[in-house]
Amino acid sequence: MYGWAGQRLRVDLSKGDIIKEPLSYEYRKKWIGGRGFNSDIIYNEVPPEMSPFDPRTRVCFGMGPLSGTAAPSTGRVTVSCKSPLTGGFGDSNMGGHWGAEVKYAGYDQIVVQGKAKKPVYIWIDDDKVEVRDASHIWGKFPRDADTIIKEELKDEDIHIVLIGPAGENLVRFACVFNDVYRAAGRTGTGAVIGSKNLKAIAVRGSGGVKIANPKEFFEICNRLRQKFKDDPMKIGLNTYGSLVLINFANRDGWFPWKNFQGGATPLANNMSGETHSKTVLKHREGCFACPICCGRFTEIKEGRWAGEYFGGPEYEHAVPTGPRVGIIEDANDIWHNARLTNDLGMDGIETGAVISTAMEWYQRGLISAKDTGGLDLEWGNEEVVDQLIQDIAYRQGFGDILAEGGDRAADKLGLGDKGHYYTITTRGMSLPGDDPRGLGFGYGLSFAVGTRGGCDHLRSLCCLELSGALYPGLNTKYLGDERPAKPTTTVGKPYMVYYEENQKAVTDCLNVCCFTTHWSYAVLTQDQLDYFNTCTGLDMTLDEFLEVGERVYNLERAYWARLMSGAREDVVPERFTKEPMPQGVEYQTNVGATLPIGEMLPKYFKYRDYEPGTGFPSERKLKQLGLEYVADDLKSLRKKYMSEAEKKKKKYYY
Amino acid sequence: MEKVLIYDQEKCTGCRSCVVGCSLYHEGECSKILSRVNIVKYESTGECYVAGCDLCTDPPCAAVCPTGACAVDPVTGIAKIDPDVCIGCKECMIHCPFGAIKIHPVTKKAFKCDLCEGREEGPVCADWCPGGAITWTSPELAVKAKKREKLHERITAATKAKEVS
Repeated sequence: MYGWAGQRLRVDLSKGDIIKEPLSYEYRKKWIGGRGFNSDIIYNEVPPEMSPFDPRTRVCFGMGPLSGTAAPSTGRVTVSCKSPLTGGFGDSNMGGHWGAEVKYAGYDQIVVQGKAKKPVYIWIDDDKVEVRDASHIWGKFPRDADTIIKEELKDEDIHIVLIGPAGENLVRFACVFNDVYRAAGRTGTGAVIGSKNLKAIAVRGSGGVKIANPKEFFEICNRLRQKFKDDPMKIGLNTYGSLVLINFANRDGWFPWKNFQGGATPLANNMSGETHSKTVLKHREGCFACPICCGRFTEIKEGRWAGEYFGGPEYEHAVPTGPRVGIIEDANDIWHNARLTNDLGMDGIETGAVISTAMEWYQRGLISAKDTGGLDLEWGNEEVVDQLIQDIAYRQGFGDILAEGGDRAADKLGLGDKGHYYTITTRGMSLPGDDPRGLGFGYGLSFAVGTRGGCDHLRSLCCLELSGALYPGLNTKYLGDERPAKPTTTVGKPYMVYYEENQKAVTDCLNVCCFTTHWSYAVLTQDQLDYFNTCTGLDMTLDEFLEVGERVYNLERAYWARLMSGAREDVVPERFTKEPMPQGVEYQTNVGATLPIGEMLPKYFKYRDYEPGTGFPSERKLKQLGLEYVADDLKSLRKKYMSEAEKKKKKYYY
Repeated sequence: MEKVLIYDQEKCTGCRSCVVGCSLYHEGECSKILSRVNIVKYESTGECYVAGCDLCTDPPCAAVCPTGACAVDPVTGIAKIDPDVCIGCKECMIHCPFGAIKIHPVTKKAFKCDLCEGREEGPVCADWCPGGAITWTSPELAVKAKKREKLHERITAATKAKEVS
């Protein structure tokens, strides 16, 4: 077999069973890998009504046929579960080297189910798999647990997936790491792993990935890597990390200032990649087989946090517990907060988002010091942010309420619609630090419809919109029109989002990095198909390839449909449609902009072939994608959704 | 001008592009254990060490080889292992100061870097390295570049000092 390892490892922690299941040719061709395999398991094995913390629920780690190969950036892992934050379909994606190591150990996917009686970790040494005691590392930060496990197994070169204290304490947005700092941040996968009393999965793989046509595969990989050498996007990301985006974000007004009350601030350069690399950059870091290497290691040199070091931060990791909560003056505070969310094992985005939401409730007088246990939630108050991050992770005081996520917290505090107005979420999950009024209307549309809730800059990752200006002609190549390259236009955006969602779904199935797709000219979709075919020996066409992405996407959408979530929930936070973008800096380009979501949704529905009323995938589309059983599942729900939609006043949050 | 492989440990990001490229180029398979170049890394601090053949003038691997399988190639000037003569005794592996020789998991014979013999663009590891940690250059040029770097550092420091005063 080429590309794939050809088997799934299933570990049942209740029974102690370790099962290896072969993956058939048809199955591999239908789902490709990674996100495809995971979504299939979640849809079939985790019923929609099941609690995300039920021992019977599954958490899946998916690798793709390209994982561990020489194609650009093949170390990624997709982690999927029923999300404890949104209650719906959840997955998240991380870099590092663990995914490649699992492939070398001989598995395409790991599914964990059941619940251990006491804390355990799983040790996979090629075909030998055992469940070991983890009582001594329970409660430890990932970096310390990583060291202890490596000492115990007497091998420094193994790779380990880990959760932090937040995952153990079932914080609904806890995340999971591999290689200590590479996080699958979103949707609360860490809490589900914690609920199973599982602390870590350590892997040693001594095999390899066989390639169907090694000479041709080498030539393709070589050509792509040569293209990366002088690619402007690669140079920017390699030199400054993803923090390179800060100054662009500030200029184009998508910088998440104070819970999106503004889109720019004069001091943004304090935390830009340019400043970071001059002041606190320790060294650069790369995920497996990456031609870009955007990873950073940071060491704080001055002030009260001097001496702290950690892997990161990324743009999306640094802004939430920085400008989003009003901290910008001293960048060391921002680096410290990022370090803290990392060590405690929480999604930086959601942590910053819930704190900033609470700060806005405080600003608007919806809550007072009486609710917060005496904490003064003034914007930019570093002491309080530092305290709250720890309180959330250990579920203490007001932090315990915030650990439930923004929308749940609003309900617990009884804040009603007013409270929900300031939770910048869709389907119960907070948006990342990108304001769609500036970043682009395509992103805005993607936030409304993404199949893992509001996160979703990564479901579509509209490369064409983001780098349209940097790479003239790219949009014409893909969409036949250059106009969609402008972020703040609706022209061509519904089709762009439809295309990019399918494209990114298949990219996640291969489990290669989104940065090494058509974000630049370096790797176009045709190149991805070429390396996939030469690696696996398959002979897929471009249409078949993208159809796999569409299949995965529709399956995930159907999972939400079974939860009675459809067209009515395809909304963006009202802030973006009602409040025109204020001016933050003189040179800002999007002053006065709002997000015209209503213009784009109907057209997008047409491309997707969703039913106009319910927003469910149509029967015709599902059958065309080979998902007849899904069409059957949804049959009885279509009417039910329509009748409930009328009755239900409150929108579906979680 | 004769070229050599230069490893700059400070610049290594630990991405293993070199490792997987080497393995694919030589063995047609992507793997860590089949690669002639290797990276070890402390994941919690990010510090890396890239271990490849340093192309010694008096290679210990050749000196200790009991059968003559590992000997300096008169054409390229680097130590080369003939798998047909190698008995798999691992002496070269133990005596390489850089950990650059391994035993093949299937043949059980020693194998090492051959500079991607005949590849026009030079060794894959240097060609694919995204951070400039492995370079394929002449030692003279490398030394000159190093001196330039030092000079540049001094000028920058002087300019800064001037600005401050």
